[in-house]
Amino acid sequence: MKQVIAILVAALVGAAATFILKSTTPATASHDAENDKLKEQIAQLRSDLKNSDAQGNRITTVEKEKIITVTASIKPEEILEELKTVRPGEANRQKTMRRVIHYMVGLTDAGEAAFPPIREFLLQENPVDVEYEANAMAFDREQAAAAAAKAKGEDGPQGRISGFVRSGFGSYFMSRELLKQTRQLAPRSLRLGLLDVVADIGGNPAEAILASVLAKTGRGLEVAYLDGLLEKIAGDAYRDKVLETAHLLLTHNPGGNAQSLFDETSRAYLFALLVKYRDATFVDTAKTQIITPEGRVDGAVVNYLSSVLGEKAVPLLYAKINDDSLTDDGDKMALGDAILKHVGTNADSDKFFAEVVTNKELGPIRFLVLGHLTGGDNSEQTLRNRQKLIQSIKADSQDEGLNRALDGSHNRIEVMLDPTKAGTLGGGNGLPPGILELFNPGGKK
Amino acid sequence: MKQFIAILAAAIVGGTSTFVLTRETAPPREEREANDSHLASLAELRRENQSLKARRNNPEVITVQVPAEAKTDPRPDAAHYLAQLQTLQATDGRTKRRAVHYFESLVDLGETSLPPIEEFLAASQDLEFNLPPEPRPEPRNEDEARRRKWREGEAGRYFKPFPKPDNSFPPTLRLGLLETIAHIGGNSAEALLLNVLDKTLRGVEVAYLEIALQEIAPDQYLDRILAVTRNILANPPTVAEDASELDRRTKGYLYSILVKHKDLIFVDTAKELLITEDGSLDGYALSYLRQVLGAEAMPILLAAYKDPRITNEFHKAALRDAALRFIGTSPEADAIFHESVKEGLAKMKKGDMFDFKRYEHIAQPLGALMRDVHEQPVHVIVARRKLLGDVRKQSSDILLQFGFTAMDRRLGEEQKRRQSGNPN
Repeated sequence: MKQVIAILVAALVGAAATFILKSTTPATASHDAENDKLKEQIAQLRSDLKNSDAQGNRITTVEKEKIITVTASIKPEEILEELKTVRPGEANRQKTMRRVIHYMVGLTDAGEAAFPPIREFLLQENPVDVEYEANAMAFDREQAAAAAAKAKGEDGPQGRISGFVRSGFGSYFMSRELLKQTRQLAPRSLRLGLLDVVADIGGNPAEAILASVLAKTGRGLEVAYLDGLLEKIAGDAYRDKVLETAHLLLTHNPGGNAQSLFDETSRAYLFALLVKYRDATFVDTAKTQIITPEGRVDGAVVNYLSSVLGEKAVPLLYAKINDDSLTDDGDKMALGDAILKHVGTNADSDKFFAEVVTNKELGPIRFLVLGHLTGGDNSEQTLRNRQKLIQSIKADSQDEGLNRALDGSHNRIEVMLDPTKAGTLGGGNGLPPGILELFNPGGKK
Repeated sequence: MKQFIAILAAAIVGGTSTFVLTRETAPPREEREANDSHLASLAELRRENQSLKARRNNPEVITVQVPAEAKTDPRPDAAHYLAQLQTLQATDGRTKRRAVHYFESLVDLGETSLPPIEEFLAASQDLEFNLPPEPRPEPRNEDEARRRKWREGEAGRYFKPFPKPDNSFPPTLRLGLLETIAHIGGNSAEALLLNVLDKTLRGVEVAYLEIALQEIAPDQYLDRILAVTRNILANPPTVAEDASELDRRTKGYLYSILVKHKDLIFVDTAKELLITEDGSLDGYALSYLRQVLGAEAMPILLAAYKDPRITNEFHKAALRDAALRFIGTSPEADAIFHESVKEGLAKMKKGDMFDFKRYEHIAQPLGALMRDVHEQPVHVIVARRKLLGDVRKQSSDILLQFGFTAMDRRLGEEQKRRQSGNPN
């Protein structure tokens, strides 16, 4: 019995020990607890995720809404109507021109919606324009005054501006500078301003409008202006069209006595275009147009022939300047300047130089030709030829003033050939440095 | 022993039975699946988190196009145009045209433009529409550097005209707004301009305000404008070295206003300002005194000319130029003329006879004889011819004699023209 009891007790002890031992190890997590734990980790990761986003990894969603905004502004047609009525006067010029600029930019901002009324205005059968440029307006006043005088049977004085642009001297020098003009803050006229607006808006329709105006305009200024605008848009694509238009207008528009400065200077602009493109196909026609029907020199033609033909133009021009029917000094100056460009390389030019500089009847103005000795072609051979010309003139001259001036020019050429001689030979302008300023500083030129 | 083995076996059997009886059962399938799902989520979230962290510096923009919508926008208000004006850049070729457009748009809006304009002006901000001038090349030598320093210094300003507002386009945003206010007009505009006038220390702004106020209320505020002008000139603000040209010429704009209105009240102060403590000459003050006082400025000019503080030859030349404008009318001016001719001829003699630069020593007094000759009355021309005759006796230089003859002929022609009453 004792043995059975002992076996039973042992079995109980073993069972109890096993239970106790098992119960003292960490409790295995229940599945719910594990799930809870996993959920906690997920929540934590989601929080990290959100945090990560907030710290810089922004995924920005831009809702790009394409809104067609209809601004309650003035219609382009209304702006253009307003522009047609604006006229700058003497007293309100600055203020008025600001309104003009304001309207022009308003049209530009209207974009392609502005094209129909602008196109209609620019291409109308009987084109109208509003001039804004001060010189153009002054020219108009001069023409009005001349017309009033004529109505009274009087000749009336030649206006300052019309006198200049109609002279050989004026048209010659003007023609050389015309295409250098750059766009100013205020447009020169309504039509030119609108051409700018069209170009500023841009695109194919703009190019088409500008090309249409080029095909239709009769004004040299507009042809030149359009040439500049179309060149910026399409390179030289319109070069031939521009030249074709220029030829057409030059052939059928002899010029003279226009009522608008822009028309009066038409031929000068067109010849300037031929010079720009070095177009020699008009030379034969131009040779017949050196003298206008009024018997004056057309300086634009002279500049064209001189620029395109170079030295080859000299015999023709020299023959014209010796034509006794030419009496105007300004006309002769235009021809003379073109001839004197080739002093040192052309015998006629050298001969003419000597004739002018030794002609005391011309007074001090004859010394102006000395500038041709140091300008233009500055190759060594030409400069040496000019020094020889100086020596030959001096050899026959008893004129002290002239000889001193020629010495100055000789020295100047020497300095051009060898700048190290500047210190010993001085400025070499024929007169002591600053001597002209010395005797008339601050005075009228 | 048998008993011990039995007891040990009983213990083992008891323990084993207890272990088997208390062993855990496997989790149900749903729970396993849920657990797997959580683990998958966990792994996915970890990947996403890692990915986000890696892309932290590469923000991504997703653009979503939504269907077009048409809507009507009211006409832009003054704030819009002011904002547009502030975006303009001098480097953009369209800037001036656009600026004019915005200014005129503000004018078109009328008095509703005034509050935002006032707010902007109160913020003391500005924007220049013109590009700064190109830096000039370094002077080639010390002499050129010295001459440039003088020309660009305070005294050199005497030989330049006073700066004036550009009436074709305002050079800065604030100046354009001052014009805009004037063009809007009305009592509120007037009040706003006066408000700016009372606060500004910029000469150029006073110059624009003078034009604006004179335009909308002629002469009504002139005393106030002149008082502000005098006050700033008497207590000028410090102008930084890198200030714009507009601000560096502040005094010029202000003196220009005084000259325009022939203001004599400032004469006494200008006399004090003419020569600074360090012996420099204020060219603007000199121009002002000469222009408002005419020949009556001669005592002041003479005193300054003889002031021992004036030692700089250029400063002396500026004073001499001012005085020599009155030769033929003022004995003091004639005295300065004779003195400078004497000095000039003496310096000429010291120079090399083949150096034509030596004539520069006498250029100033001789030039004064011919200055504005077409505007001078006959008695002044006669007096100048006499002065010329005096000089002629002092030099035997052939070129000078040649020049004297030419000058006398010119003066004689002018005298004859005046005496014959022929204006041409």
